[in-house]
Amino acid sequence: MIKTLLLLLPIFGFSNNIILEHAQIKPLGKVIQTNAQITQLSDQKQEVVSRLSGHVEKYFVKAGRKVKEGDKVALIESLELSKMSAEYLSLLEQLKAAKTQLSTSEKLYRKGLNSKNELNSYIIAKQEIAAKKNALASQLSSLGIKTADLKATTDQFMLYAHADGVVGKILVPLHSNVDAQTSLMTLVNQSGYYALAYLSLDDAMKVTQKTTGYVTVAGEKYAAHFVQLLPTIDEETQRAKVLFQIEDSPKNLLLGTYTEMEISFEPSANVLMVKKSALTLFQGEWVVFIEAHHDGHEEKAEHENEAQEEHEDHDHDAHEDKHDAHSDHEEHEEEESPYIAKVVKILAYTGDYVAIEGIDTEDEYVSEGVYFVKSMLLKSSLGGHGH
Amino acid sequence: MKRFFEILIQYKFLILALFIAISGFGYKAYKNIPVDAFPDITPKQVVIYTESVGNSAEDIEKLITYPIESAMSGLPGVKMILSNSMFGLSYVSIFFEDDLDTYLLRQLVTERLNTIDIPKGWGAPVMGPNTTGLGQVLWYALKDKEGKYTPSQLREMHQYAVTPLLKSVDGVEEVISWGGFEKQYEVLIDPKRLQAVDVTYNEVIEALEKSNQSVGGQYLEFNREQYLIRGAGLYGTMDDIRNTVIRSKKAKTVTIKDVATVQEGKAPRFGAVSVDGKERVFGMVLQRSGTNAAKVVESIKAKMPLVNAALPKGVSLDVIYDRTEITHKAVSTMTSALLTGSILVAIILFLFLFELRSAFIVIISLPISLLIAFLMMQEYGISANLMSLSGLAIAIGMIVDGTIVVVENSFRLLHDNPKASRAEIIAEATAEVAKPVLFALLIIATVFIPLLSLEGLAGKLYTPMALDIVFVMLGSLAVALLLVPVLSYMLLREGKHANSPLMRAIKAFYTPLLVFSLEHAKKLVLVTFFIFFILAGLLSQQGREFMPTLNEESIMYRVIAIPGTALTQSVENAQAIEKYILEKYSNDVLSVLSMMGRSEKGETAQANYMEVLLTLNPELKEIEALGKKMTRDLKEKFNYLQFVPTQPIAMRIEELLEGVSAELAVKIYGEDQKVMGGIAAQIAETLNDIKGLDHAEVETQLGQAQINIKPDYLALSRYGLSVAEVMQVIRYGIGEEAVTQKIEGVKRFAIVAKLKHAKQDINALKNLLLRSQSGKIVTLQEVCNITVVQGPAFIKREDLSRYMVLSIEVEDRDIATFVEEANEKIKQNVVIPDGYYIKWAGDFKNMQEATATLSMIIPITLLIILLLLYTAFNSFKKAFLILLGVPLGLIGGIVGLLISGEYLSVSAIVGFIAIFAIAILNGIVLVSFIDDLRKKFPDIKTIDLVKNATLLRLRPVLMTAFTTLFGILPLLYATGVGSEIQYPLSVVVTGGIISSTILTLLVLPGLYVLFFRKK
Repeated sequence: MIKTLLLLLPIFGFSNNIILEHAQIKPLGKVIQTNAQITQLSDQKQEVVSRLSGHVEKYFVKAGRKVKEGDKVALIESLELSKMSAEYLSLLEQLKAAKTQLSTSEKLYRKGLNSKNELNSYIIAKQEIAAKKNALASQLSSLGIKTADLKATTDQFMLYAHADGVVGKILVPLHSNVDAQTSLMTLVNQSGYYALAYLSLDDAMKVTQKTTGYVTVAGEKYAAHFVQLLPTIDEETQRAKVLFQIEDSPKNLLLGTYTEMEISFEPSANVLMVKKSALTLFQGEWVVFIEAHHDGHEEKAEHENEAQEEHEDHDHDAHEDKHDAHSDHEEHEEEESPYIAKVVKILAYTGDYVAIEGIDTEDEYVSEGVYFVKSMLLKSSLGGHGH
Repeated sequence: MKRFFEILIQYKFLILALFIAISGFGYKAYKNIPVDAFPDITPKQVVIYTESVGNSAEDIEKLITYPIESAMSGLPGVKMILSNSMFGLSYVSIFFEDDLDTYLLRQLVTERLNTIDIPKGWGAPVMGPNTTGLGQVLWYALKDKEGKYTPSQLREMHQYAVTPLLKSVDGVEEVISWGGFEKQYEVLIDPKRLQAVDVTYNEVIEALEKSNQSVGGQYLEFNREQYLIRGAGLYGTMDDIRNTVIRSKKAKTVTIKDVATVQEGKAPRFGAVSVDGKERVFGMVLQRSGTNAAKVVESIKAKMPLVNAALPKGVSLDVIYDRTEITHKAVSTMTSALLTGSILVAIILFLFLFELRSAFIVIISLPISLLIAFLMMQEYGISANLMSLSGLAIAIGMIVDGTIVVVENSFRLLHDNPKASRAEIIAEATAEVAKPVLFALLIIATVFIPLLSLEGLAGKLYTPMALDIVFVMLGSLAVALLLVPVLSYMLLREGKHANSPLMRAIKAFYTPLLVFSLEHAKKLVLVTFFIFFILAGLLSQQGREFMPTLNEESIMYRVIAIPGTALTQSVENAQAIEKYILEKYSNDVLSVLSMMGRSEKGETAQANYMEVLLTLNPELKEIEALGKKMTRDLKEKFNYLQFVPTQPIAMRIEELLEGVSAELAVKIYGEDQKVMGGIAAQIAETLNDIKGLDHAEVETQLGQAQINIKPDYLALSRYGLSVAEVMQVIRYGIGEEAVTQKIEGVKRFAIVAKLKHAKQDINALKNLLLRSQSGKIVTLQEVCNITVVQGPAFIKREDLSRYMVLSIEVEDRDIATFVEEANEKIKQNVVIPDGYYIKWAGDFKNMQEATATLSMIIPITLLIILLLLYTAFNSFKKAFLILLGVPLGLIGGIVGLLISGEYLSVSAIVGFIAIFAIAILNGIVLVSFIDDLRKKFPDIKTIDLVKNATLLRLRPVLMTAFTTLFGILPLLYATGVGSEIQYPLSVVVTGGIISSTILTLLVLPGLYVLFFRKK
């Protein structure tokens, strides 16, 4: 695909309108605008389950109270827990003893006072205890109890909210006994203002977990994050529906409102980007002008062109003073600094930049004043073009 | 014969009255004939242009240009059809035979126009204004002193306040608005809102179209009176537009304001005007063809106060260019030459005749002949211009010749026969010379006939000149033969044979020379003809040019940027140029005007083209040098643009001819522009090796970037959209075509339904949201293949075939041989596919055609002259003798041309033709007199007879020579506008007269002796 239109030109007297820039490697993100509708999903009721049998000692919340994930909700006095904690602590002690025995046995073994069999039995014993301890530790930690902090036997089991929401109903009265599967209370998840964005199929397939965006409602912008690409398409509009959850939603967003939504896709691989102002259509192809490198092949072409250039220049000046034509020519040889038109392939547009294929990173390209470069090329090289 | 003159003298008062009346009418004609810088050189042409908003060159060619061309090609008298199809415009120019009447042609074209089938919505073909290449008589800009008004407001003022007033001026065909912005009402539709309220774009368009209307409901009778009923549904305010209902279901209505904002906006435009770095609103007055430019401008200027009064305070018209200024300058150059010439001639006459009464008669014949010529000019519709007036100036010296001969003869006879009846003697004297005078003047008229045969540009330029010479010669003939005898009868008194001291001195000097030349006649003749052939050889080496260019005392440029340049960039370019010139040449340049793109009246320029006119300091002298320096500076500073120096009139002419303005060009005809471009490039490359090529340039027709939106039928059907709906979105939503109009009094403004952000960039266009009736929503690129390609900027066609031009400049080489060699090389090296062919064109072709015509006509003319001479003298020998005198005159003409270094142009050729006439005239005067003497004294030796006759005829020969010489001298020394065109002519004539006179007096007598010695 890398084609070069070898057209070179002298730039004596090029105005300051031309700015050169290095091509940049940038992650290619895409931002699109689309319509979205404000919506709310039906309330999700969840239940807070006791998890351990015991006695409800205390509720930290009342019905209607808003809680966040990790907030304390209830305290349960649990015999089961105290048994578990006691066992854990005893296992710790046993493990300690087993380790001591093992190390003694090792010393003896090294001195030849102990048999290999004996040593092995100690090792097995220690490992058994360790396994028991670890199993218990993981059970405890799944209940939210950090074993490292466990210094003494406890029966106090703290129950935390496992999700955001509002406490609905307390199902178990205080100080009643519960078993491990009893629902203590309901938690209603209400964080649900959502934006249902209607995306073209192409865009919809590009949505990832990291896709974010914001909706504009009555002039305010609200951030939103991707939740789900809905499995069915909107029959009527033939557009894919993508659900975004609006973060920090205010009290009331009017449900059903159509709003504008801007969606930023997760940046994909790094690509070569140039400013949009560098592009121009030249002999039917998109090109970017880069500064010529003075290697052999191009040098030759340059000379050919120069000759033609001079020839034309003289023609134009034919009626003018000979002396002037001559001095023009000298100036022009000194300051020769041509640009090359490189055919590029446009990969994607993003804001003021375009991702392209066809030039190298070290190339300096004309980012402003492409019009002038193109004008000079077309003006001075009529008919002569090559690939 | 004699009887006739006696009767004339008898009815002397009647004759006098007749001539006084003729002079009176002549004077009136002189005051009334149209005054212009140039003859109208516009070919008979009718232009048809079709504005087709937003459409591409290819589509316009197919759907508009071609149907028009094929309909028009069947009209009678069509010589050529040229067309240019470009973005948004079809321009067809039909060239007719010159002798057809413009109004008839326009009528015929109108009839055909009605039969042309152009798809609906693609625009309607309109005939271009009935004006000429010189029709742009006045340019002005609207000046807003306090800067209170926006460009849109100023444009509105121009269109609705200035234009109607100026258009009502007699002779104004059209007033063109240029620059500023045209106001339009924009319904800016948000596609996302459409989606929200379940409305399609097409429904919005429909709603707008349907709502804005007004109807009549007849009347009702109430209490014996009539009440008219009117349905007034036209939009009044912007709120009316906003409240237009798109759809209503139950109580729920969707109105325009639910989906769009309504605002005032600017219509897309194709041209702009900038003065001194600021955009301005600009107007151009076109004069109707056949009207008097000077009068039109005068009446416009008389109307200016009214126009300014109609404009708001602080706004006024500011005249930038007035074409009549150059006209006045050119005409005054010519009239002053004419006047000075007349005075000089009068002085010469008096010096030679040395007698007041006869001098008076001769001198009075001058203005009367001129007035008769003016009368005839009016009759034949010839305007007073550079060319026609110079015809008169050339002829001044010759006008008096006939009169001189008649007066001289009368005077002599009166002197010789003091006793006889005066009436009889004068009749006798007139009758004696009537025949030679008649023939002489007829011959002069004949000599100029070849000029009348010239066709094309040269014909249009030089025909008026030739006609004028013929007219004035006929006038002088009438004066010499009708009025002069009467005046001689009334005024001449017999007196001493006045022999002026000047004549005595000349005679004393001349006699020995004559004797010497008669003695060495043979050698002298040989030497003279030897010199003539050498000079003729030198002349053939002299450079040639078709036409010297008129110096309009102005500096103007065509500035061309690359095809596809946006108008905003052009405005930027223009303002940079304006500022640069004003800064760098602050002393010499008062103001700079740039006109970019095109105005609304069917011009073919695109946004990449502009014209820059400088208003110069009136005290500036060295315009040419300044222009050259500026051209160099501009080319260097703005090296991305092309600057072509031109002048206002010259430019219009080139524009109107619309053909090839280069010296030499190859036209490549065919179908595919890319193939033609390839052929052109190949030819250019081949030409590179040919000696004498200065440079060859291919006209770039490609280069316009296009965004092609091609409907994908499968995708469309999937979403339930029709092609029509998509095209409607493209036409109205993107292309901003007027959906309907908001009428405010007499003003009309377009209402457009634009899609918001649609034209931000290519990407935005691709992602434009469409909504089908069933509610499906897609982006434009989902239902259409959108590609960006390089398309034609314009498509030119000649006689129904596309063509491309390769213009060539040749230096230091004869074009004819260059073309020959080039043809050979092209045949060898260039492969031209089937269906493609090439033709040579350009100025060179005009010159070639003119030369070909002349080479046919000149021998015929010579034959006619020979016949005339034979009729006059009844002897072929004498006729030959007189014709042999012609080369003697040409010698001086060639020397003059060589010394001055002028090119051999048509102007110079006209000079040679004039010398031809003078030489023959000199010959006739001398030969006829020698003949007379021979009849009277048959016994005297030829050589003595010739000597005496020559001495006796010295005075009339010198007189005619001197009068002609001094008649043309002012042209030689003129410096004003237009003088450069006549300079080659006057150089040739001056040189020719001098040599012709000297040689007539020295060589011709010798020739006569050689011819007739044996008798």
